[in-house]
Amino acid sequence: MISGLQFSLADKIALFGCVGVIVFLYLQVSSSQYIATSIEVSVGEELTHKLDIQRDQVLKIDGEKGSSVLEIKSNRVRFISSTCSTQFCVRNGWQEHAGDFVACLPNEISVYLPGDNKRYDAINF
Amino acid sequence: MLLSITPDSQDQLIAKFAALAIGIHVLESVLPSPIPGIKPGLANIITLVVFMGYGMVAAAWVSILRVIVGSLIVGSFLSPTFALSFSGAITSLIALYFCGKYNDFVKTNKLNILSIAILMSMSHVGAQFIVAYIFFIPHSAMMGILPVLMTAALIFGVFNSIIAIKVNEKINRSHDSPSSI
Amino acid sequence: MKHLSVLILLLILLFGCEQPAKQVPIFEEKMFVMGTIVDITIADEDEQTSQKAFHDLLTDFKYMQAAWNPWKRGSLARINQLLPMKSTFSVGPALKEMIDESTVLAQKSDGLFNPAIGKLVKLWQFHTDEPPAGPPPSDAEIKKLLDSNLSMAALNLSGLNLIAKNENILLDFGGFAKGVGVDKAIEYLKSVGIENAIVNAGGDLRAIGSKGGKPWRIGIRNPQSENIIATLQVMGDESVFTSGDYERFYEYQGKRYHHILDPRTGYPAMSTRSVTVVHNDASVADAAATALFVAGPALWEKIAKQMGITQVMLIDQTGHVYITDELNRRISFVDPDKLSISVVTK
Repeated sequence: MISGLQFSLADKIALFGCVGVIVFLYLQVSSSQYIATSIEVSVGEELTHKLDIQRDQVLKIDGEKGSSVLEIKSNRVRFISSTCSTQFCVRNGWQEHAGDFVACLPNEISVYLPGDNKRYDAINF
Repeated sequence: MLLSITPDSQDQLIAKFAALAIGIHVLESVLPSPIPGIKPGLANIITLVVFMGYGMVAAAWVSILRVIVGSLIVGSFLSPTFALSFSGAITSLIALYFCGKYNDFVKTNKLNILSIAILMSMSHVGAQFIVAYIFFIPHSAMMGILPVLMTAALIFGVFNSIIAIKVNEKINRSHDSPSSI
Repeated sequence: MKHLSVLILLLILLFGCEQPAKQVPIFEEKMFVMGTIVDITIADEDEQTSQKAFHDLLTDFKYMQAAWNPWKRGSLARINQLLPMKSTFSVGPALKEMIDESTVLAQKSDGLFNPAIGKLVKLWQFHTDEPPAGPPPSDAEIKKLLDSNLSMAALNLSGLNLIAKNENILLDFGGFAKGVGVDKAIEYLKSVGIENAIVNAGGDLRAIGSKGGKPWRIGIRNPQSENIIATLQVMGDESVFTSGDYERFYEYQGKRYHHILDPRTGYPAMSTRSVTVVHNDASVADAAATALFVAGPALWEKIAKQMGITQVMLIDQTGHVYITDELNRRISFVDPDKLSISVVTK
């Protein structure tokens, strides 16, 4: 098509680098697709709080049998302490992706990170 | 005493090319684009052609004149759109400058015009994206379109450089048999 | 060279973009019921239909929870009160079904799934909502119960009439009721014309249909941490059930006792960390996950064959993964290099 257009080593490196940048950007975008932006806290069936995941805070939620404390930091949320005896909620650790869910059963406090693009439709455990 | 500015042949050349670039720019601004923010940037063909034939300085003049006068005509001078165009143009010229300097410095393994065009177009789009993100839409959703913008930049860079090469060939051939642009 | 690079660029464009699935509406509801969180997802239905389904399912689950609690007031508790009397009494059709089905499964699992060990569960105090306190039961107490041969075979159910031949038989459908509940929920959804849904009861789920034509993506969580170790795509009608030693347990003097008891020894089954079973029926999957957990690395293959289960993943106490070929072909591990895996073929 183009006569006389030579591709030197520098050209190949430049082209490869540019394509690499593009591929990298696509990967970045697809991996960050699942980042959540908000947090929904419910006690029982009722949605009690809608929080911004980008605002660091610590807050106490009163539930059915007791209360739990949530911590939001660096775009993640977790149960930092709870009055329940099993402590599964605390043990579950940090949640950060859209679709992530953690709850304290005895207190009926649930924390859900909504999002349209969930990595998984359901988690089996 | 009147200040006289006498345009020399270099100026006339730049003026002619700039006029061409501006014309293309204005026409292109009328065309609808399927994805917002993505334009083929056909006026850059002129920048490339001027660079190939007349060097960095001339290309810089043509490019900047095109952005300023083009925005005056279209009515976007000093608007956010202008800020985007201008930052893009400056950045791609900087990229062009460094490519040129590299080619001057190196004896073999020079960069051909296609690579240069791609580096220019991607840095142009990159700069525009950064300006748009910082000053206009600091939304995380913006990141989503960046790969698409960059892909388009690469493709149009290839496309524009091919046309620039063809135009350049035509000019060179017509220099052998005298005629004017 | 030129044509090649353009081609490559076009290919990158093509595959760089993920094809979006047909966008169907998806409604999800979580409810605190059945002693856990039941998460229901309905796809491709309007909001009104979905909301009504959620409402009805919550009612059904609440009923099941009350009816099938072995100890608190309800149908099953009543049965457990009457069984030790060793005389005939009638049971309701729903529980008859559960007794019949679980008897078959107990037999197929060589008794490793055994709902007749309710008294043993009570001895270990796993029958309450609160975790047990204090020391585990003594060897003598356990031996005494085992000697009385707790088995579903000691029950005689003809029609709706039940009688126990052994006064130590009490029924606890712990490793089965969740599965039955999930099956009933799915049956209900199908009966109102909902064809695409997931009913996930505390991590054990059954999924029907698809998400706008694309399979449901299920993440399988690592027993040890909150990370996902594998993903599975399900379409059609499939259940995924996992039994683990981390679900209900307590610690006493540095030792951990979990709730999946080995009917042969009377103690928690110690050789397994978790078992994941994929099967159509949720109730069978639930019983199988329990039985195979007890079977452990030594016997799981035999028991799985007897129960008609072909897709199993068992993780033993060392973290080693045993998986059947059929499941291995469709599962994708997130970090296979970090795991030691044995693939088992028939």
